[in-house]
Amino acid sequence: MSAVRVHILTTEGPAKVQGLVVESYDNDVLATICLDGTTEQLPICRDYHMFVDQFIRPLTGERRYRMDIDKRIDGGKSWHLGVLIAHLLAKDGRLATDGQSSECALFVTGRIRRQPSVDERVYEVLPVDAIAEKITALRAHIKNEQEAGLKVVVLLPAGNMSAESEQLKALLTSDNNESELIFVSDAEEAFRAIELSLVKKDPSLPPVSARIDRGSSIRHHLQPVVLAMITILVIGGLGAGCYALWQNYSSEWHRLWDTGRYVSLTRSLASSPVSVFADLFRWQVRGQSGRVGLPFVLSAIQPADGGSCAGLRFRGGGLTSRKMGMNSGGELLMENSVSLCGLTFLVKNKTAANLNIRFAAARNLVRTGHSGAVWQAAVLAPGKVMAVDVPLSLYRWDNEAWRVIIVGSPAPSEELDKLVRAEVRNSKFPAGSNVSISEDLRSLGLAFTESLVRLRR
Amino acid sequence: MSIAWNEISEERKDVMELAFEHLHLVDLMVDQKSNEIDTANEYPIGFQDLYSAAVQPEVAIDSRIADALENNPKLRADFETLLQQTGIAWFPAAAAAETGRLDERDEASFLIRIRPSKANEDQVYVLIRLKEPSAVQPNAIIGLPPEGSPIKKTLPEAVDNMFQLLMQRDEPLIRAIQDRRSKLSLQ
Repeated sequence: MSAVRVHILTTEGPAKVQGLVVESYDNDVLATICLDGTTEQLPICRDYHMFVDQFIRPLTGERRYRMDIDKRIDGGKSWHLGVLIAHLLAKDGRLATDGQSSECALFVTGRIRRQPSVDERVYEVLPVDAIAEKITALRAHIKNEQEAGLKVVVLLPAGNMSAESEQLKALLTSDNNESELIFVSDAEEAFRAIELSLVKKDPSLPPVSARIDRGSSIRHHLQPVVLAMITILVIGGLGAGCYALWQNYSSEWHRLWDTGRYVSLTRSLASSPVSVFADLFRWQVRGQSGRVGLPFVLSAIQPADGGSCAGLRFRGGGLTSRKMGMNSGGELLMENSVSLCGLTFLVKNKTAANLNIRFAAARNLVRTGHSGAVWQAAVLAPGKVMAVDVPLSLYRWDNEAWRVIIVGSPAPSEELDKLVRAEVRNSKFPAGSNVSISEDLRSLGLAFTESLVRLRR
Repeated sequence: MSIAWNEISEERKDVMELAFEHLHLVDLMVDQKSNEIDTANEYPIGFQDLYSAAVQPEVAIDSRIADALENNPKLRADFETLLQQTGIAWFPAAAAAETGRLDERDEASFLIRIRPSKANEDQVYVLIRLKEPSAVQPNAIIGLPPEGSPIKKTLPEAVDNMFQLLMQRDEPLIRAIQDRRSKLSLQ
């Protein structure tokens, strides 16, 4: 079988999988992902370990992996599908690592989750963000591989079909090396796609054209008019039945959506016996809500004279605010925050409709684990800004982390309020950064932002 | 007689905090005065510097502190005492009867192991296992070799009660862990 080189799409260009070994010298070794063979473990290391444990170990029976890639991946989950495929190829002895030749270059992106309530073994492939940038950054690499005579296969999530992917398809089909763009909605499809593309090269199988010819000969014996009538009747009947079923399901789902019962809605969608309808409804409401995040600006409130906050009352001089930046891992860091009196979050509604915003923040201290919480909710008109002040302790300093969750919905929702409160309360430092709000709500396209503010004192 | 901190009123805490600030300022002034041996353009190593280097995970042991700890036995002893008193775990020098290089250091709550990487033989894993789940977790490891300056390394977040570092085999911290005469602290 052919060796496959795996490239994971990023906005900075594809990251090549250079190596993948089982670190078998100790049973306790955690799966780790490193940059370019160095000792630099990437920021997604912890997520990678979790992913290996949950998704790869059940398939390979191993979790002590070390993967090396040639480009940084600092966050997100779009690496899931590429990493999964690389491990399975390695298990089959088909992963082309550095120094090994390959006949196929696979470029892949896609987030993975277990399909809820259907089958734990079905790994659903979910769409990823910034697909246009990823495709743009991919083009030159495809050309290089094609010029090197390699077959190029691009795997994208079915939910990422777009104008950019169509252009990519045109680019691939212009090549005569059997290059392919394949959209997948679950991991099985991705595995099949790779096998098919490789099996085609197996001379023992009949050529595809021969199989098509046999099908044509069967159709030749049917009367064309009868065939057309049957086809029309079947399609018409199916269409009417599907429409009636869709009306039946979607009216209830629309009622839940309009009344803000989003949690009930996700449960109903997950338990729907017709998953296509559930996907269709999700797609419909995602289109309405626009799938945007809720951007915020974070300012540090500090004494104007640079002294301590506690002594400010004796000194006077007032407070100043300073905008804080965010690192590439999506975390806000403030070092040497000795004279930090508070934080102000400015949340902006960048959608074109009113949004019910709920802002929740929970504090965790490193040594004590003690936590406090801030909650604020408001209805924001398009373009308007909500300011949330978070006062910080003037004494009893410790390293602390604030986990922030901001969720916007078109309708007010007690269910969502409870969910966000519970989600932010359950967080525990240092594992708090790993907890995420239900992915089901994300699939509805509700405006959502999650962040971690670390204060090192 | 002692009073629990939580039972003190907020107003009283503010007053105490102000008092601590003033006392700390006095400490700094006294420290600067009593370290006249230092050169004119370098401020002296004070207790605050040692404390930050020992306790605060993001504060590195810079060359100034490292030099002082290497050359001033009293300061080094103070630093060691500080590590013992503030640390989450303390690994003393290994028993003299043992021979050879150590690839494991064991303590009541933690086990430190060094294991090679299959991907690159010049690289090793430092595996620090928390033997029992605990709410208090270390943020840094500090090695005190018999000679030379202390080495400090920030720890990543634990996964399943395990902290994992990947390092070059010849890095000073690896040598310190493997040297039976070295002492280690988890902060």
